[in-house]
Amino acid sequence: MNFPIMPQTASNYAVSIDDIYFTLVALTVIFTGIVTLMLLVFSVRYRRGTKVSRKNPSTGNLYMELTWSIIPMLLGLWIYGWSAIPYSKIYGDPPSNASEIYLIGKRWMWHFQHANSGIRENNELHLEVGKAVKVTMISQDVIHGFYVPALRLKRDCLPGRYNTVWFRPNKVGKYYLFCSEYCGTNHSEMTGYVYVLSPQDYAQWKANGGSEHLAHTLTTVEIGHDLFEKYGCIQCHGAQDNVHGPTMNGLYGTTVKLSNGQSSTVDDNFLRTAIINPQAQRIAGWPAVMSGFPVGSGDGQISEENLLDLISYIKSLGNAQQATVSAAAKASATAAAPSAAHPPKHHVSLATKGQSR
Amino acid sequence: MSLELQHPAVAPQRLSHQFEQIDQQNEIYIVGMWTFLVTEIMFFGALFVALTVYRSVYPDAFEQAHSALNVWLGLTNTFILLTSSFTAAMAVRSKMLGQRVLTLLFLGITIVCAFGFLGVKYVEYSAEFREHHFPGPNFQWSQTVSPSTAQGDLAANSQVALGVPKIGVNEFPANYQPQQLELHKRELFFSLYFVMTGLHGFHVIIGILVLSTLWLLIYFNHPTVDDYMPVELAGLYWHFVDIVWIFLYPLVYLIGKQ
Amino acid sequence: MSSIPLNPGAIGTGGRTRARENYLNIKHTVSSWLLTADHKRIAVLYMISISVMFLFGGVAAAGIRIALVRPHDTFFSSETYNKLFSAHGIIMVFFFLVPSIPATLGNFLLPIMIGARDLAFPRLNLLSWYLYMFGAVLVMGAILFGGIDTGWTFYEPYSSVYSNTNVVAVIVGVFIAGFSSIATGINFLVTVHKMRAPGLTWFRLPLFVWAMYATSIIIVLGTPVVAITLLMVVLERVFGVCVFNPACGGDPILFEHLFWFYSHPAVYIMILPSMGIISEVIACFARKRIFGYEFVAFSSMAIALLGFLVWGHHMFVTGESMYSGMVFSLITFLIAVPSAIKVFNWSATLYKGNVWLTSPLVFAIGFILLFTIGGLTGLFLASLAVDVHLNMTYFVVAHFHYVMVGGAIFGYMAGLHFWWPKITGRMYPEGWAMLSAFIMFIGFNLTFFPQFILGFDGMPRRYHFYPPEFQMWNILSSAGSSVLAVGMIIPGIYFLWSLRYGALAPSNPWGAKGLEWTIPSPPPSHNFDNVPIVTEDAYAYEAIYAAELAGDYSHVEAPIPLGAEAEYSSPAEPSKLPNSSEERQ
Repeated sequence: MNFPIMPQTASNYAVSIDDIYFTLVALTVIFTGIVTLMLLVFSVRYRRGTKVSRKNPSTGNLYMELTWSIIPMLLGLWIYGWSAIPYSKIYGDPPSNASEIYLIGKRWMWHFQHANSGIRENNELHLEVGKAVKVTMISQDVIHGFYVPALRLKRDCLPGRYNTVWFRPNKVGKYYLFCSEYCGTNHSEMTGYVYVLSPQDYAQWKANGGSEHLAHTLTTVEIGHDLFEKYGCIQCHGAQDNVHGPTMNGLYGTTVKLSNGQSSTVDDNFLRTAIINPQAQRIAGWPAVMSGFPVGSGDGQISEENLLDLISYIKSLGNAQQATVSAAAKASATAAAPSAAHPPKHHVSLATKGQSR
Repeated sequence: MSLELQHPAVAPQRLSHQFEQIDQQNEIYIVGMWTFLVTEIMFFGALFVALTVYRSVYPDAFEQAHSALNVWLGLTNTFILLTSSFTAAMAVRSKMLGQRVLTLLFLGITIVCAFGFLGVKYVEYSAEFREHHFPGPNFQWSQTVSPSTAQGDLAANSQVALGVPKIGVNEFPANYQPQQLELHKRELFFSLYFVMTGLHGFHVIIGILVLSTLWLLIYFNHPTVDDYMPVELAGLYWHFVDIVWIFLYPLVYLIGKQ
Repeated sequence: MSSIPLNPGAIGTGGRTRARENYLNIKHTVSSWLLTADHKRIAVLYMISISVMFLFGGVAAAGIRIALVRPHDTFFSSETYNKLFSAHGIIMVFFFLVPSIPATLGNFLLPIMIGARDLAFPRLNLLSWYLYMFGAVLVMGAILFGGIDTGWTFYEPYSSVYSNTNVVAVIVGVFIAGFSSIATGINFLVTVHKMRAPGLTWFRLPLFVWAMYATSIIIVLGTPVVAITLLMVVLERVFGVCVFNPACGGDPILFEHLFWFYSHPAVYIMILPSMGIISEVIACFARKRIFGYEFVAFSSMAIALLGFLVWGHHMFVTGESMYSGMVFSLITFLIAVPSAIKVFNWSATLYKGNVWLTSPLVFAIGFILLFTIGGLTGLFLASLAVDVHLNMTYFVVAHFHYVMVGGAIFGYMAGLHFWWPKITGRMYPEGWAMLSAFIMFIGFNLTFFPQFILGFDGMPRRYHFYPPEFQMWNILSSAGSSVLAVGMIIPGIYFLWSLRYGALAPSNPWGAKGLEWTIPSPPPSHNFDNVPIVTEDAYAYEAIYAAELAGDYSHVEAPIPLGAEAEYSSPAEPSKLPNSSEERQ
C-alpha cells in the first residue's frame, strides 16, 4: 500500500513552488472550511420548524459584499505576485555558467545531447548535482512536453521552434521524466529518467563516455565545426567578412539589421531559421545567395541534431572566451583534413539512425 | 431609413403566436438578425486574426503572394457588391412603400450583381487553379517576380527552385526543404485566401438563394411576403456580406502593394 | 390581460392540473413531437438526447477507470485507451455539458420565467435540436466505427497530420453541434431582451434568467471562433492546405490560442447555468430573497465578459511570452472574485432562513461545496509557477471534474429535481433522491480527490501506463467512480419510475415564487392564459416566510396520490375532460 502525497524535490524551484502550493492548500482548506461551516450550520440551525431567533433577516449588505470581494482579491493578488517570481526564473535567462543540453523530442522518445561533453543519450539524462543546466528543446513531429515532476519543471517541446528552460538539480537521485503533451498512441511510454549524480559519479560517468552505446566523445561544438566544413559553410562564412557572407566570429548574441529593415538578435531560433531558410531573415548588406539546408536525413539535408551542433558551434564563435579556439578551428579547417582528435567514426549521427522508426 | 417608413399602411403583417404585438415581432426579427450577424463577425474574425498573425510573421512572402492576385478583378467585385448593397437597400425601401414592381426590379438587380460577383470570382479562381495556386499537393510557385517588387532578396528568391512538388503531408518532417518552406509560406497565404474568399463566396451563394426565393414569393404574391420584414432581414444579411468583402478586399488584395 | 394570482395555492385549484390539457397530452403522434415548435417539447427532446449521450460518455469513462486500475493495463491497447478518453471528452464536453442546462431546463423555463408564450424563434429552436442530433449521430458513428484519438482538444499538428483516425467526421459533427448551440444562444438573447412580461424589469428577473443570458453571450461570441478553427483542421486534412501545420510555416500555438478563446469561455457555458439554478433553489428552500441579488446577477455578467480574457492560462508552458502569461494569470485571479461573491451570497442566503431540506437543496449544497473546491484549485493552476508543475497532470483533470461534474452536473441534478414536477407533472420519491445525492457526493469525492494528489505527484493526464507507485490512488479513484455510477443510475431509475407511478404534482409543490410555479404542472402548450403582469421582485418570499414562521404551510401544495385525481378534477371544465383520463407518456 503506497499512497505518495508529493513527488521528490530535486531542483532549485521545487521548494519555492511547494511553498506556494502548500499556501494555496491552506487557503483552500480555510475557505472550503468556512463555506462548509456556513452551509451546514445555517441549513441545520435554521431548518424548518426550529425555534431559533430569526429577527431581521437580511437580503443584502454592501459591506459584507465588499468584504468577501476584497479579501479574496487581495489574497489572490498576493499569490499571483508570489508565483510570478519563480515562473520568470524558470523561463527566464539562465546563469552564464549553465551548461547546455539539447533535447530532441520525437514520437516516442527523447534524445539528449550534452553540449560540453558531446555525450548523447536516449530517454535518459545524466546531470551533475548543483550545476545549472539549460535545456534547448525541439520536436521533430508533434507537440511534446518535457516534464520532470521532481524538478517541478515542464516545457512544451514544439515542432519548428526552440523552447528553453533552465534549472539547477540539487539532490542526487533518479527521477521520472514524462511527456506531458499528448502525442499519439504510445504517449504514455514516452518516458525516461533523469539521473542526478554526485560530482564524482558524474565525472566517472563522463569519463566512461556515458552509460551506453550512445556515448560520444566529441563536444557539440566540435561536431558543429566539422559540419561547418562538411556542408561548405566555411566557404562563405570565413574568418573575415567576404563578398558572399558575414563571418560567424562574434556574431552570436549581437543585434543585426535585416534586409527587410527590421532588426533581430542572433539567438538559437534566429540561427535555425538562417540555416534552413536563409532568405527569411537575411542580414542587410549581403547578397541573397545562400539556399539553405533542408531538415531531414537524406542527401544534402541536415538533421535536427546536427542543426543543434551547428548552432552550438556558431554560438561558441560568438563567445569571446572561445575566440582562440575558433581561430584554431579555422586553421585546421583550412588544412581541410580531420584532425586526429576527431576520429571519423564519431561522426555517425545517432539521431539519424533513430529516425528510422 | 427613416422611422416613418416602418409602418406602411399597405403591408398587412402576420403575428406569430408567441408575440403580443406586431412591433414586438418586428423588433425581435431585427434584433435576432443582428445577433446572428455578430456570430458571423466572430466567424470571420478568427480568420482575420490568423491572416494578421501570419502576415506579421512572414511579411515578405505574403507581400510577394499578394502580387499574384488580380487587384482589378477584386476592385470590380468591390463595385459590384457595393452596387448590389445599394439596390438591396432600395428594395427594402420599395417594399416598405408597397411598390411591388420596384421591389422586384431592385431585388432582381441585387441577384444579378451577386451572380456577377460569383462570375468574376470564377475567373479569378480558375486563373489561380491554372497557376497551381490552390493549396495542397499540387501547389506551385513558378511566377517571376513583378518589376515593382524585384528587389534584392526577392530577385534572389526567384533563383531558388520554388516549383518543387510538395511532399506528402505524412512524410513531414523527414525531408522537408527550405525552398519548400518558402513555397509553403505562399501556400499559407493562399490557404487563408481561399478559405476566406471561399467562405465569403459561400455566403454570397446563400444570399442568392435567399434573395431569389424572396423574388419568387413576391412575384407570385405569396402571403408570407406581404410584410416587408423578410426583405428587410435579407437586406441586412446582404449588407453584412458586402461589409465582409469591404474588409477582405484591402486586407487580402491591397495591403502589401508598394 | 390581468394580474394573475401568484399562488393558486389551494389543492382545489392546483389539483385541476390533471384534468386539463397540457403540452404533453395535447397530441400524441410522433410527428407532433418531431415537428413541434413548443419550447417545452423541444426541451424534453433535448433531455432525452443528452441523457443518451451522457450514457455513452459515461461508458467511455468507465473504460478509462477500468484501464487505470493497473499500472500496465492489458485490457485495452493504447490505441483503444486513447480513443476512450477522446470519446469521453468529446461527448461530454460538446454533446452533454455545453447543451445540458441551456437546452433542457433553459429551453423549458426561460420563456415561462419571463412570462412569454415561447422563445422568440420557435422553429430555429427546433432546428437547433435537429442540428444537435445530426452532429451527435455523426460523432457517435465516427466513434463507434473507428474512433478518434486526438483528445477533445484536437491539438495541431497531431490532429491534422499524424492521427489516422476519424478526425474529419468528428470535427464536422462538433462543428454542426456548434451551430445548434449558436441557435440556442441567439434565441435566448433575443427572448430575454424583447419578450419579458410587462413589469418584469431586468432587476426583477430570476437569477436563472440572468445566468442564461450571460451564457448566451458566451455562446454567441465564442462558438463561431472554434467552429472556423476546427474547420481549418478539416481543410488541412482533406485538401492539404496549410494553416497551422508547422511543416509549412504554420503555427500550432495559434491553433491553441483560437481553440482556447472558445474553449475556456465554454467552461463558463457549462457552469453559469448551474449557478443560476443554485440561486433559484437556495432562495426557494431558504424562503428568502437571494442575498445580494444585484451582486449575484452582475457576477454572472462579469464572469461572462472576463471569461473571454483568460484563455492564455491554458498555455503557460507552451512557450507563449512570459509577459502574456503574467497578464493572463492576473486576469484569471480576478475572475475568481465573482465566483467567490456567488458562493458567499448563496451561503448567506441560508442565514436566518426557514430552511426546508429537500433533495434539490441537498444537491445545491453539494454543488456549492464541490464548486468551492473546484474553483479554489483553479487558483493553483492560475498561479504561474505552480502551473508549471501541475499543468497537464491529473491535478487539472481533478480540478475540471470538480467544476464540471461537481459543479455543472450537481447543478443540473438540483435543477432537474427542482423542476421535475413542473416538467412531467409527477413527483419523484424524495427519500431515494436524498440517498442518490449523498451517494453521488461521496462517490464523486472518492473518484476525483485522489486525482489532485496524483497530479501533484506528477502523473500526467492521458496516460495509459503509469509508474506503479501511483497505483493505490488510481484504485481508489476507480472504486469511487463505481460509487459515483451507482449514484447516477439511481436517479435515472426513479425518474423513469415516477413517470408512471409517481404522485401527481400540484402547480407549486415547493411553495416557490416565480412565474413558472403559477401555471399548472405540466404547463399548457401556450404557457399562460393571459400574459402575466409582474408587480414584485424575484424571490419575494417575505410573506411566505412570515406565514411559515407563524406555522402556516398552506402555500405548499401537496402531491395528489395516483388514482385520486378524479376527485380533484373540476367539473367546471367539462370541455377539457376527454383529455384528462389519458395517461401521459
